[in-house]
Amino acid sequence: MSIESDNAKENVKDIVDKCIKCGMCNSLCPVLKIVREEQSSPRGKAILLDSNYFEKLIYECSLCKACESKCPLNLKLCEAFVNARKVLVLSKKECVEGKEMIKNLNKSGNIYGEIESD
Amino acid sequence: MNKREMVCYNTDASRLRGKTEKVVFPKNIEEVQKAVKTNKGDIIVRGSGTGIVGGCIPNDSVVIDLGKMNKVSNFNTKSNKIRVEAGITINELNDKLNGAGYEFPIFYLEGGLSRIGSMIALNILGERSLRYGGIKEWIEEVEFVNGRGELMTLGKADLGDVCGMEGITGIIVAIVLKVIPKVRRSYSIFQSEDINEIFSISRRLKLENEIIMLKLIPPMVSDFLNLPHKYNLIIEFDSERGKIKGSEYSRLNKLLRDVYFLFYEKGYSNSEDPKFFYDKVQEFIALLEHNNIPYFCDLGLSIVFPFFKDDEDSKREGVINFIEKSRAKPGKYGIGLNRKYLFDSFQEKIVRRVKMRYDPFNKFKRNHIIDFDGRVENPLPAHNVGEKKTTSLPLVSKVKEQISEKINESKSNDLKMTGEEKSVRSLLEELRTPDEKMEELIKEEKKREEGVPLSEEIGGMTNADLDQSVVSEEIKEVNNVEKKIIEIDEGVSKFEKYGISVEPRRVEKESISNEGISSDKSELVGDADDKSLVNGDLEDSETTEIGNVRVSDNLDRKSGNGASSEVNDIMSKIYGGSSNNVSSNVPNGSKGFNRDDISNEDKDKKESVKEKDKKEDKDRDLINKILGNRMEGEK
Repeated sequence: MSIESDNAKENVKDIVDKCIKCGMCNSLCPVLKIVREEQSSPRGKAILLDSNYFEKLIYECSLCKACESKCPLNLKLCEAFVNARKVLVLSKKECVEGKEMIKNLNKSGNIYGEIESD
Repeated sequence: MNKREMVCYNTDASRLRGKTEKVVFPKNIEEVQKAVKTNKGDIIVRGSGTGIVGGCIPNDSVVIDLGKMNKVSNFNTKSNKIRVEAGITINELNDKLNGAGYEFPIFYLEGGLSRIGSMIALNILGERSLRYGGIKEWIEEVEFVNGRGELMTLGKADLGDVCGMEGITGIIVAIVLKVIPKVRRSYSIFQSEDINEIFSISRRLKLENEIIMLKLIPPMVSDFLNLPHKYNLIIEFDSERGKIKGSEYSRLNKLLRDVYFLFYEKGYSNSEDPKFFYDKVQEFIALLEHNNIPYFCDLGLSIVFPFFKDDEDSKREGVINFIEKSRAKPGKYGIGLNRKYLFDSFQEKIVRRVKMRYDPFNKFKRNHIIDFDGRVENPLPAHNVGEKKTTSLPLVSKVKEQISEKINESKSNDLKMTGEEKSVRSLLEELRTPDEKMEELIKEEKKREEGVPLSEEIGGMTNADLDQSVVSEEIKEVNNVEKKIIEIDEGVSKFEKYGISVEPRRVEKESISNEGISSDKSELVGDADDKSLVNGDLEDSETTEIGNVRVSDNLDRKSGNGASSEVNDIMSKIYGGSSNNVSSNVPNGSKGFNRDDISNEDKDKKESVKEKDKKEDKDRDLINKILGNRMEGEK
């Protein structure tokens, strides 16, 4: 583990520790509306991160910040999820689509890997 | 689902922790039945996990999440009925209904994310239940899966077997609900620095048909909401009669729903939700205010929500003690794991029977609400036919020994026993001499006169206080009867002052018979007052109009036997001069009439009538302010 990922982990922990599990964030989450399972809700993800569960499930978030607008403690959950993704990338656990995207960017300068034709 | 991902089903808003064995996401009723039949262990049905009593905390249980059962069907606009599955949230249902111009009026919790199934399991009182009642009244039919995995349909008569059982009898899967066309609502705010004024006015407003919510926000919490530092009584109307309408209405609506958040923001993340009798609320509020505990109150439903920080356990215990003593009921969140102290022991027997009928193997929610032993999983110890049951004997024998010892003691004191057996308590009572009893009474009376302040103990009222108040009331009554006999002797001359002739013979009879006094006398005084009051301003005794509020006199009947002088005071405040009429309407046999004041009332009446007239004008202005300007418009 690098120092960078440790820092990101600490940042996540700082935010998630304060969660009081009231579940208000769930009321607006667009992902939960479709998936309808607790583990993909903001509260569920916060609980999972709190128990050191850094897996691909964290990618099930649109980072729209609707949960932050409802949080009574004004916790920056989306920031925690972004940092959790950082930890995943640094530990080479990121999702396949992400990997491909980075490859394409390096190759052609855009995420689709298409070369511009003049 | 990954085993490590199940961690998020271990907890809910109560922040208790359990352990999940398996999570099931059924998509239809058949899958629910299958889940119940195949699992032999504990089953817990989870709603949205926002309860604060640990209603869905598992204990090595299979968790059934009905979130994916959220279909709506059979919407009939003629009969205003709709069939919904249990996993739909209240917000989702209302979003769908609003499109067709309808709504489901029972609203619960700020985010609107509570699911219909869990609302019914708790038989919740919503924000607007003052007029709309509990959710039970809006159900036509419930489909649920019992402990054997059978699908049952219950009509209105049997709803009690599911509603309010918190899911220990079965899993609610679908419901036929009543809905109503969408209503435009409005708010009014009444502000005052005097809590007594708030209570007297809200007692009146509760009788109004159009008022659906009365929320009291105390000065401490008003600061959080940027309202004036006063008691704010927020009144919601089921029409556009209030002053706050349209966009302002939705703004205030949002503000009220954010009250919980504001408490959480300030660090008050624990709360209670006791439901009291209306008369007990003021006492509880006094206790909270003395101990600087922030709260807000639903005066319509008499539910108070005190809030505590995490490190305020001692305060919380004190408040819980008070709640236990005053026999409050669970308000909004039910009993669950946390609030077993609120469970009525009388109700427990009924709950056990219902549980035995629907879930004999104790599959659902073990250790929630009641500690129930299932038929198979936890069999009771078997006894041989020839043997006597010994399990309960030791306790009984101990008690018997104690009783016999005490009886022997009393025998040794040369007490003459009658032929019948007497209880130890009565024997001990007999042993006390009349002098000792009198001394005790005098002591208690002295204590009462000195008055113990509410502040010393956090509980406010101890058992001793309660006993004192009972004794002092008894003494008062004895004094009253003595006074009455004297007064009634003089009574004839007093009534004659007002030009009323009273037959002395009738009065003598009343003075002898204890029971008839209160009712007959109140009639007499009522008659006398009618003639003595020169001002002809008295309004009708049955229905009275204050401003544009039409208020019936049911209040007197509602306040019941405990009416006493307190209610009379409030009535006189609101009605002004008509309080005498009110006293004459107190039903027979009630203690509503203040017997002490017979002579005093006669003397002071003329003076007080003028003052009351002034007060009446003030109160009219106040209520007009609350209820809008219709009167002005009419003028």
